[in-house]
Amino acid sequence: MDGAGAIWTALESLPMAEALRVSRWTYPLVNAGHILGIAMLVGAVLPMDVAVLRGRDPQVRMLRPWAVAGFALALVCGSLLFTVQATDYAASFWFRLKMALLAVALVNAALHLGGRGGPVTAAVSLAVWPAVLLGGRMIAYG
Amino acid sequence: MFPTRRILLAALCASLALPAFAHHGWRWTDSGQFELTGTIVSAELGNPHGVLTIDAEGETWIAEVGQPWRNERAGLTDDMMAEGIEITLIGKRAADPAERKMKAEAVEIAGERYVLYPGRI
Repeated sequence: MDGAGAIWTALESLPMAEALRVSRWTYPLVNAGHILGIAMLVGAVLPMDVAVLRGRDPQVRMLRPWAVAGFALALVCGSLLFTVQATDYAASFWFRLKMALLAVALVNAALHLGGRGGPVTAAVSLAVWPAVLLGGRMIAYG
Repeated sequence: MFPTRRILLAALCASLALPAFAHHGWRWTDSGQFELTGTIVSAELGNPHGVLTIDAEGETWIAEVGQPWRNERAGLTDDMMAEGIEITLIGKRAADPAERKMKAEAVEIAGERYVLYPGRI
C-alpha cells in the first residue's frame, strides 16, 4: 500500500491542507459547512423517501435540489477536512465503512434517478443515508 | 458466526489497532489532577487536535495538547514539542485506568510552565 500511502502524504502536504491544519477559524468553519451539507442532504432525502413509501404526491420532489446542493457542500467540505489528516482517515475503520455505505447510497440514488425508483430504492435510501451519517460521526470516536 | 458479530469484531480490532483519535472536552477524563513526565516520542500538532505520544519510564502515553491557536496563546511553538524533548504534562487522565491517555491543561518544558486552559488550572 506504498502507492496509496504516498497519495495520502501528498494530500496532507498541499498548501490548503497545511493552512487548514493551523487555522483558528477556517477549520471549524469548513467543519460546520460539512454538517450543514449533511443536514440539507439527509433533511431532504428522508421526507422524499417516506413520501415514496406512502405513495404520496411526488410534490416532495421539490426537495431534490436541496439534497443535491447539500451533497455538493458536504463533499467539498468533507474532502477539505480529509486532506488535513488523510493518512489517519484512510486507515480508520469507520471512515472506510462510511465510504462503502456512501457508495451504496450513491448507486441507489442513481438507480432511483434513472427511473428505477420505487419503494425498494426509497427504503434502501431511508436506511443507508442515516447509516452514512452514523459512520461519519463514529470516526471521531473510533 | 453471524455477519453482524463479525462486523462488530472487525470494528473492535480496527479501533484497537488505530492511531488514537483524540477526544473533545473532558467527558472521558477522571476529575483528579494528574501529572505525567516523559520524553516526546512523536508529535501530531494541528487541527482538529494536537496529540503527543510520550514515553514515561517505558510506558507509552497519549497526551492531548491544544489546537494550534491554543498552543500559540500559551507561548508554545511546534519546535518546543518535538521528538526527544522532555516534558511534564499537567491535566486529567482517562477515567478508564487501563487507558494511558490524558488531556493536558498545562505543560512544563525546561522548568517553564505553559498554561493551555487558564480557566481550569
